[in-house]
Amino acid sequence: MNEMGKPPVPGIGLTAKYPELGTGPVDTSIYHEPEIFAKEMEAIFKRSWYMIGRTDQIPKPGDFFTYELPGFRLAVLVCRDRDGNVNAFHNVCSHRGNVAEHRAEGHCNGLFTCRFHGWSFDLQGNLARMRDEEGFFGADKSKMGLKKIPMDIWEGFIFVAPVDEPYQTLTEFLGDQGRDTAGYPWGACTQSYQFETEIGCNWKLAVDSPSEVYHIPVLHPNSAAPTMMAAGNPHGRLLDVELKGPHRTNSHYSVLAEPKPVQKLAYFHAQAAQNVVQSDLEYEFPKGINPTRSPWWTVDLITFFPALSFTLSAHMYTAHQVWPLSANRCLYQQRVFVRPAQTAAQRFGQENTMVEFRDVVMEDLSTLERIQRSLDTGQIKQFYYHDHELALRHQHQAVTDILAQYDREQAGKSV
Amino acid sequence: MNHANLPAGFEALEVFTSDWVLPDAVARMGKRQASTMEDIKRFYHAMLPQGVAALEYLKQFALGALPPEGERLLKLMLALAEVAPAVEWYNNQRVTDGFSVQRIRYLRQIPDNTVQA
Repeated sequence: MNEMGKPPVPGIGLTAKYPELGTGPVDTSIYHEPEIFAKEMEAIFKRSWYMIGRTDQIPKPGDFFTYELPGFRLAVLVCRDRDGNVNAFHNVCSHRGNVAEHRAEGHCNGLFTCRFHGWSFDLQGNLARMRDEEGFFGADKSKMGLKKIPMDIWEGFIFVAPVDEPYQTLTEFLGDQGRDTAGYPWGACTQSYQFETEIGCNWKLAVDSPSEVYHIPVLHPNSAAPTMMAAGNPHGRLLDVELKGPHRTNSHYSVLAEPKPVQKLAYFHAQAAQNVVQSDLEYEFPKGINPTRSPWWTVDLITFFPALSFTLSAHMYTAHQVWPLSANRCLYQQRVFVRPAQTAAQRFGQENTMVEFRDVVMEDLSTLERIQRSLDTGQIKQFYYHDHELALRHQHQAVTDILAQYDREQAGKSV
Repeated sequence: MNHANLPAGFEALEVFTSDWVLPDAVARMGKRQASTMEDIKRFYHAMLPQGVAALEYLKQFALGALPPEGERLLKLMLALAEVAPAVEWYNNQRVTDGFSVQRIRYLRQIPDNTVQA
């Protein structure tokens, strides 16, 4: 149990800090109209960067992974070259367009060889070998390498942009949120699980899902609620919501309630990460984590607009990434990052963390296709947001503002 | 000749090794979904009292350095982690009114018994 006494119950008043967001109900059309979705693809998603992995997945020269960006139909090949640099290419053989590397991940001896006709590319994307080159009429190999895709790295996370000329740099894209959360020991959680699922809902509903905790006592009564609700926070209110341009952070507190029996094994005998108050951190947080510096802090939800969020505590974090597929479909990806197990016992703690988190996510996702049905059939035309659902109100405003700005840009072009 | 599947002291769990020692997290998730609550609870209530002793045993080893009987004990404990919410949170294999776990695809798992850095 916590020894700091009874924590304060957060009050109402978060939304009042941002009067420009208003307090009224919001129109739901951005959650289901195909024309708005098409505009979002141009105005938001083609102008964004996407996290596709971590540099520690490819520690040695020759290590690589491939990935197809959901919704964009872009195949990407990421590798580490002999100088130690991470390179990212469109995974498209310059001969006839098959993938240059067909495997999901692995190590190559310095050449990626297309399984169609055997052309080979080196770790910097140069075309190293055209099989039976004599028959190619003097084609210039030096101009036929793999095409680079815009790529940059933040805190060990590899991001790519789905266009040839990014709208802004990765640093600009991540903005104050990236600056304020750099320095957390992101790289200490070297072990990860990853799962994904397609959901029949607009991308914003999937982003909304962890972005408010007003639902916790009701949707998570036996799982998350006992810790997040304990000690007199019956509605699961937040410590704070901090808005930074289009990005935002929800800061949560909780205290350790009586753990369930298997949780006790995981926490006390297997060093599983606990989402409870930490009194003995071995490092100092950057200012964007636990932004209120509350001694009751346990978890932040760090959101990078539009569709990447981290649920982060002192010793573990998860990454939620949502890929838009249509006005009412998206791909939801979840990565659970934990610290390496020093002993076989700690391996049990890792599995406990993953299973609990996954089951809580299954609770969260249960509502999304039902909400989308209500939207698609016109049964709900407005959303009423609680003060502590501020993150959703902010997202609505950010999307609406960007689409209006995009309309002005387009009108300016056509004059 | 020793036919024990598990380290000494865990004989009471031998009966579970054929059903609950599974290759990975995906197989454990499938096993929970495919089992009756009666079978899950029988496994859970047999494992729980041995949990501290099992973890004390497992603490002696680095991953990758477990003897085969120790690896089986670890896998039983990983299966306990998988079924715990079914018993402690839901009294059901499935998440109450939840999104179907059968709809998720694992792209990456932590290997059960490989050294971690």
